Amino acid sequence: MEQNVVLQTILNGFMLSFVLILFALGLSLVFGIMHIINFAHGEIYMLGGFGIWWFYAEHNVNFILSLVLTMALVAGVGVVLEKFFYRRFRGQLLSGMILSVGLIFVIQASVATGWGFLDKAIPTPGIEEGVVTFLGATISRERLFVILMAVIAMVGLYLLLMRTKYGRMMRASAQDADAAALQGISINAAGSMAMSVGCGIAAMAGVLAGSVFLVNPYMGGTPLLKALVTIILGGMGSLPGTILGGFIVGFTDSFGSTYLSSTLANMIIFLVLIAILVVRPLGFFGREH
Amino acid sequence: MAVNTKTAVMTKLQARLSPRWIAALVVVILAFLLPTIIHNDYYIRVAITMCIWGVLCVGFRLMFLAGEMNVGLPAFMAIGAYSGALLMVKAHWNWWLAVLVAAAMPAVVALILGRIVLRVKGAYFAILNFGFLMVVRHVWLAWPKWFGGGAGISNIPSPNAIGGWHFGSLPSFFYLGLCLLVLTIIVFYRLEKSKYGLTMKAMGQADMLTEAVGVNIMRYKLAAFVLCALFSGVVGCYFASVQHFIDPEEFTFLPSLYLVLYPVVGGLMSFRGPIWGVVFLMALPIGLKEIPGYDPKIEPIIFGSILVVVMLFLPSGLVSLPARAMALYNKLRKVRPKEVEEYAAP
Amino acid sequence: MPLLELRGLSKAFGGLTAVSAVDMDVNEGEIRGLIGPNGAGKSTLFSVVSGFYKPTGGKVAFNGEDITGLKPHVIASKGLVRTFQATILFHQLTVMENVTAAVHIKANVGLVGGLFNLPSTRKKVAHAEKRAKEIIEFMKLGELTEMFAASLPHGYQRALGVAVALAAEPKMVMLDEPVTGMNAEEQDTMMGLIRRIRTDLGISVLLVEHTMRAVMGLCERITVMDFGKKIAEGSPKEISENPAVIEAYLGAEA
Repeated sequence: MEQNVVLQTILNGFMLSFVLILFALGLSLVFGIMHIINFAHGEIYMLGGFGIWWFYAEHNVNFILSLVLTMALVAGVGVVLEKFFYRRFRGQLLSGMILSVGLIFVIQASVATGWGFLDKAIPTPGIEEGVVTFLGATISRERLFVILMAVIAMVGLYLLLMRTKYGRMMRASAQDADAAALQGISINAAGSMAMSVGCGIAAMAGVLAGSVFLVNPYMGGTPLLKALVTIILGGMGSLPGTILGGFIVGFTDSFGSTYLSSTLANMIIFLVLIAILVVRPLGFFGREH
Repeated sequence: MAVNTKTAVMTKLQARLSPRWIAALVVVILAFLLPTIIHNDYYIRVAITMCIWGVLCVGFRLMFLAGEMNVGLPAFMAIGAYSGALLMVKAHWNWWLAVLVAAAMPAVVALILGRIVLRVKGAYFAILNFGFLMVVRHVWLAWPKWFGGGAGISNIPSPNAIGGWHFGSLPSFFYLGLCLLVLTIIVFYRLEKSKYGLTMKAMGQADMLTEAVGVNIMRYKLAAFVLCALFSGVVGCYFASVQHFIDPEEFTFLPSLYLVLYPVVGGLMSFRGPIWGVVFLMALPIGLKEIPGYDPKIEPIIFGSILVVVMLFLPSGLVSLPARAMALYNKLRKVRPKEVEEYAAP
Repeated sequence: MPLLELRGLSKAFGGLTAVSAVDMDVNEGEIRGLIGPNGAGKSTLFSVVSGFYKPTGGKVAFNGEDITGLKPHVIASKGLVRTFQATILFHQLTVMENVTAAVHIKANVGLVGGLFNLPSTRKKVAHAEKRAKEIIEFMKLGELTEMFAASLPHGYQRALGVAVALAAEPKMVMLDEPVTGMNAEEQDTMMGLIRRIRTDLGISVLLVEHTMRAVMGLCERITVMDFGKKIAEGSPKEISENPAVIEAYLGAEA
């Protein structure tokens, strides 16, 4: 019985970690290329959740199609944000942050005004309801589906960054924007790509979270905070660091929530962050910028 | 000798009586007269809220001088509010004593926390502060027996009568709040103008250089951090007795975003900017309500848009509008005659 | 006893060694030059000595005291002050404010002092303003006290940088490229001022420079670095004839 709980918590930890990592990678990618932190990233995630609700729950579009449409639309929003707003503040962390605050207000309130502030539920995506037993632990099919989708997304992201021309362009720009520009890679183009990919995967995280939990206009706040903790823990601008940080936060969350309470779990996450920062002020893999 | 001192005093007086000081004095006097002119309870509530946010935003600027966005102030306000409320409700303390504890508790927390949190700068510091906000909120929720959990603390009394003054009516609360705001302004303005303020500004512009000339940056930032926490605690206790009720949701993420919104829109480049930001953005909804068909739910959209517009086109905030307009006007005026001269010259 | 002593000082960033086992002594009253090709590690050395980086090996002693690994502001309070390569100044403050802010070591005004304007505070502020005026006059910036640092021409900005360093009451200043980007006339003015810093103010000077004219003209002794190591030390004449130095600058052919 005891072993069941542990296994359950571990599986839950994986789910929380994967969704968080997906979300945080988007934030990290944008930071790596544009050197700003998009605090409105949480609202992008929320738009993902609302996208799947609108397409799938309200208009009965096929789940996968809804997912793709949502990601594409939100990626488009990201491109617009980059071109008209963030481009000007490239490299200016604090100004970018303040700008994001303005965007948070606008996006959040627009959604709340349009669709109300109450929670909305999304029916299980086309899979039979029910649970799967695995090594004595039970996990709902939903959650398993989420883990699977998240893993697929991360593999996809890896391939995009490592094997495609666009990925190479983004990585070059992240490493040295001027050198990359000399090679013909415009930093504006790299920034656009980063924002579209980053927002796309954030939207996907929102879709996945929305399928399991509920959707409301304010759902972006806590994940944003967790993602910020994640990227600081791992080191700003380091994608492997973000993954490591995501696992630390996700598993702390899962174990903390199971054995203590979700409230205390959040507190512990923060304390872990402070502890790490005392020892390594730039996070695990962080570098001076 | 006597003549010299007299001239010195006269010059000092002249400096004191400069147009700026007179304008500020007039504004303060008008503010005190407000409840005698306006009898609408709703407007007085707004004015009270302006005082509260005014205190927070003035404090925000001090750390901003040194380049830091001190967004964690709502957490310190909460600590002050809860300390004061608990002492008054559970231990029946006098408000005037409870407020001293409400000032001290956040200051102590800031002193301990600051040493850790101030090791990092800029965005990291802001993020840690957001995290701190979250943690403090969870403290109220995690021990409901002590802090009332989600239901918060109710029946918080008004400040006790003191020297013939009774506190219970809205105008009386407003006067207290205004006194608090004026005190805050005096304290933070003096600091900004002193050499301490100069050092803070230097730190904000070139921190490595300040270190290179011997400034212990941690000490300076920590002092500001603790002072801001102190004032936030006091205003928290005040807030608790105005509302007679507090709960954990009053002091989280959203207030910290407003703490960025008001000063930036007002203008962080000058001392009076944050205050005017508070006044403008809190008065605006009153005007907007008069527009037929206006839905208050879109208020954050308007605020957010104003913030974005300010960031893109008016980075020094609204208080810089008059100066900008003048400069533009002068530019337009001077170009014409000069052009004519240039073409007219042989 | 030398004023500044470096023994086996090293600094590595991960796999990259920027400074490798450097020994160096600078005596009181000296004007010492530190030169080397780009990337030789000169600025890193400055940053390690002044406390901005922690060394990965070796020791630094100033005025007989071990200052290895101390924080920059502590090292500054002991009398070792540096300037920075780029024109790092308090750009939105006036010249007067720049220098006044830099008079900190004996004029440290804290929260309480600033708020209540205690008599001790007023004394400190008066001292700071007096000293600032003296330094501004010395550095020939007297006409510009009310100008904002950002609006000064390049040459004056560098002079202001030196003024800021002087304000910190140093026994020795480490000047990072004081004449880079100046024309010959400006260079001569600055060189004259640096000499006066040594003679009139009794402050020793260690400077990093690329402009050979200034280095050869100012320094009695010169230390040469390449690839993080010290490769030569001596008088300007000795250095200019040293084959290792020549090779370091011209690079190995073929």
